[in-house]
Amino acid sequence: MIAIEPRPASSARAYTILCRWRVAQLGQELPGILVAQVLFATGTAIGLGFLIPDVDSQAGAYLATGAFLINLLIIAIAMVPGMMTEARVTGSLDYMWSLPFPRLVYLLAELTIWALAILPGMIISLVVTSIRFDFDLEISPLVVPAVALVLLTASSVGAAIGLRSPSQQTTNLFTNFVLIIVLLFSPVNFPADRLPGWLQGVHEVLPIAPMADLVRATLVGGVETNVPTDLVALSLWCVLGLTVTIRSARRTA
Amino acid sequence: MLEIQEVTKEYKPGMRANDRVSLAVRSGEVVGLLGPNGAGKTTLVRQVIGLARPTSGTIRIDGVDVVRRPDVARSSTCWQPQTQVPIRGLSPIQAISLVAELRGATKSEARARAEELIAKLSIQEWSTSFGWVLSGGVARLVAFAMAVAVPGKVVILDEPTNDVDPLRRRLLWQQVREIADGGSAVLLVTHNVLEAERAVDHLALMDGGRVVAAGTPSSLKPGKGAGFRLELLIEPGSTVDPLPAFVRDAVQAGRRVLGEVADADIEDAVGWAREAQRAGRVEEFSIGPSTLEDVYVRLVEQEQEAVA
Repeated sequence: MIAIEPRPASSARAYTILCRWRVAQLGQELPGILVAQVLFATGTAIGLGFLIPDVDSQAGAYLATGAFLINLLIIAIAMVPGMMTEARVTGSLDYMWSLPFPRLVYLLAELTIWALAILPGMIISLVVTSIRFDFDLEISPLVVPAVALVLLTASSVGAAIGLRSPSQQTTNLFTNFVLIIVLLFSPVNFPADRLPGWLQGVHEVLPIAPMADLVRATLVGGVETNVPTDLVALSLWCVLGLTVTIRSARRTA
Repeated sequence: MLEIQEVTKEYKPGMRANDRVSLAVRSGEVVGLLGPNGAGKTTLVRQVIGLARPTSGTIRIDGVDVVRRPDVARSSTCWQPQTQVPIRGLSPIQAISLVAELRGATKSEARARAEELIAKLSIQEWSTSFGWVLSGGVARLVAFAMAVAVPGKVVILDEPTNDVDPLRRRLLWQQVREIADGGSAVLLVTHNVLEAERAVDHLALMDGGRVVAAGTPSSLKPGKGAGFRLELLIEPGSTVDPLPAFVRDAVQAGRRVLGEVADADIEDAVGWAREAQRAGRVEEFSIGPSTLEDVYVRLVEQEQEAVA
């Protein structure tokens, strides 16, 4: 028998092993996911353009960056909680969590794979929509930390929901609700001043507006945003989300 | 070694899934945890690996309190769950190597160990097939190999032979023995009494959340003179009612009748059974020493009567 000294992998190594685990599992599905993402991200922006006649380049920029954010949120608020609930209900989460690595490492690996899976689609959709709506992309290097923060914050909230939700149906109901709010009742696809005053007040607290602002500010120029405030607000949400997620992940029956 | 002391688990007040369970598994030893569905076996295991927290009591691995240190529980315990493991889309060789790497093997060590286990369990045919085409039995063997790729101080196997064919079961038991010989404490959870009898050094029988009997397989079996089991297969449409007085504690399930016969009554019992066979009332009969399964059934029945 080949005897190997049991010595749990370091967190960094566990992270790469788990990423390889998920890539191997998704390998055959990955091309399909990539194509679907391109169609979806491009389709959301162009489709919303049909809702509004005579989209000028500024409205077009809103729609394109809004679609970009919505696609990030679909991963974070719809797919992550769905997968967490499924893994919990089928027992595979128990199995993964019996293995020797911190649970946060597992969540980060999972998130990394999904982020990489959607990235090409999102870039292509940005290029396509900038041509379609005739606006200029002014991509700032801050886009990388901004997108990472948005994804991490939203995913931590999504994961917490997925871990606490009693069933897949409850999770689906919740995620559909959130996506409708984001799509139609948030300053994502249009400026905040179109919303009623009380709803603008609500968005002063929720993380959706800072997310939209950050994405817009780092992708297109000429938009009035307050990046430092957005970063602080989102960081607070991120800490809150991660705390709840880690507590949910540690919670033992 | 694994030491479980006075562990009680209450999911709701007054509803005890485990009731002051104590159990020890020494390094190099295979201990079978037997019991009917709902006896509290899985609950106990979940507490050992840190997926659940005991309401009271202690669990130690090599002296370390793993209730307080679930990270130690995870790094020193390897677990094969009763449910399927998440290997959809992975080949057996990938799945086993990945777990081995997580537990400390280098990439090449992990691959070599995976190949070794695949050969020893005789599943080479599927070594590069993807997880979704594996039959239940092969998937089970892969999950077993994942649990023992880099065995920790404690290895917990929950029904490892479910769906596995008889020849590969033997290979699996050989591996279990090798793992124990390598120094791991192996806890084997099962309700397959006959298999457990051959594979384990010690047994603990659980029912209603409590350990109701413990010892070596032979110490749990009734001693000499304690009686024999009589098994009858009745001809369809026939009956053996009333049974002679020397057949005690008879139970009937379908065409099968199982009873106990005292040492002194064996000859009478054989004579009576042959007569019944000649008369066409009994198709087959057998008389033999009581098995662990008889002991198991009796203990569980007593326990459940006591509760009722």
